[in-house]
Amino acid sequence: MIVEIRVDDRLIHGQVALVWTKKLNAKAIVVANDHASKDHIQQMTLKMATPENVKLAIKSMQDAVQLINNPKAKDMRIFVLVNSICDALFLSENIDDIERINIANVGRFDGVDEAEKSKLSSTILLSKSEQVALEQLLASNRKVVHQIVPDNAEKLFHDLMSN
Amino acid sequence: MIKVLIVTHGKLAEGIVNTINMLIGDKQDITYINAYIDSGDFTIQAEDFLKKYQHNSQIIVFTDLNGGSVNQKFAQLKSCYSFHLITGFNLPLVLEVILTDMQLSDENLTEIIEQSRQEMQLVNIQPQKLLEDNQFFDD
Repeated sequence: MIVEIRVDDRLIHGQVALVWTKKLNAKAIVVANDHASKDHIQQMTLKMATPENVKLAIKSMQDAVQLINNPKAKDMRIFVLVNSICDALFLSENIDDIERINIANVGRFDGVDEAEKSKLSSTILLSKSEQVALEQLLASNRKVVHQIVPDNAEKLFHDLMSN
Repeated sequence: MIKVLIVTHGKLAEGIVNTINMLIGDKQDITYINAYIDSGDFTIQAEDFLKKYQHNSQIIVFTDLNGGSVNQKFAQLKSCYSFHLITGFNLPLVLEVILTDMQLSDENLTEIIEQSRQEMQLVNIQPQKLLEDNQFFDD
């Protein structure tokens, strides 16, 4: 089961590795990202950031779906990281068992001009394609939240938009 | 309940609390003392803290340098108050203690210290073997 899909433009970093993995009691991290699945340098740094006793898989979007839909994944607490809402939507459409989707940080390092993005908060900047993906995700029955660190209250993403 | 006090020469204590708040969130219950930044006696604040919490909390004090005067002072205070004293801390260690957030025995603390010590390392970039799907699901 997926305990959380986290949308984070830094994928695995200090907060995620140390803090969230523990809070979520995750036994495995899956980075679902087409670029990272081919970039050996990025794979090294992602591995470096992963806690010792936590398994790590770095997969293309398609392969991530296949891995997580393996029956053996059913009893495993898997924490999935993607760096865009588009990718979160793809997983949401292709995998059933997902507890929540946390859009934490997105769009700060995607190379799109900031003027073309809509800014929902200091860490959420949405390009046109991300806005479309977000609308689709919110229209699904998934629980979509915004929670950067565990001590922040969990906010429904819907409420963030109406502010 | 755990009460954490971090005491350092200068503003390292305040700095590490700032970093921890960024990593875990703003509401961390951590007390810090930046020792010697003025002529005041930091031991007054330290003893107030120890007096206040020693009877209903487990107190863990972190100091920066083994052999430094800050640590010497707390080593002396151990004869008067009940608390754990850890010196030469690093960020992973303090984070681990705070995230564990429960009573810790000497054995627990020693184990956490050993793990955190391993986090300090010369970084060598080496190709990583990715897990095959069947390895991913192995126990």
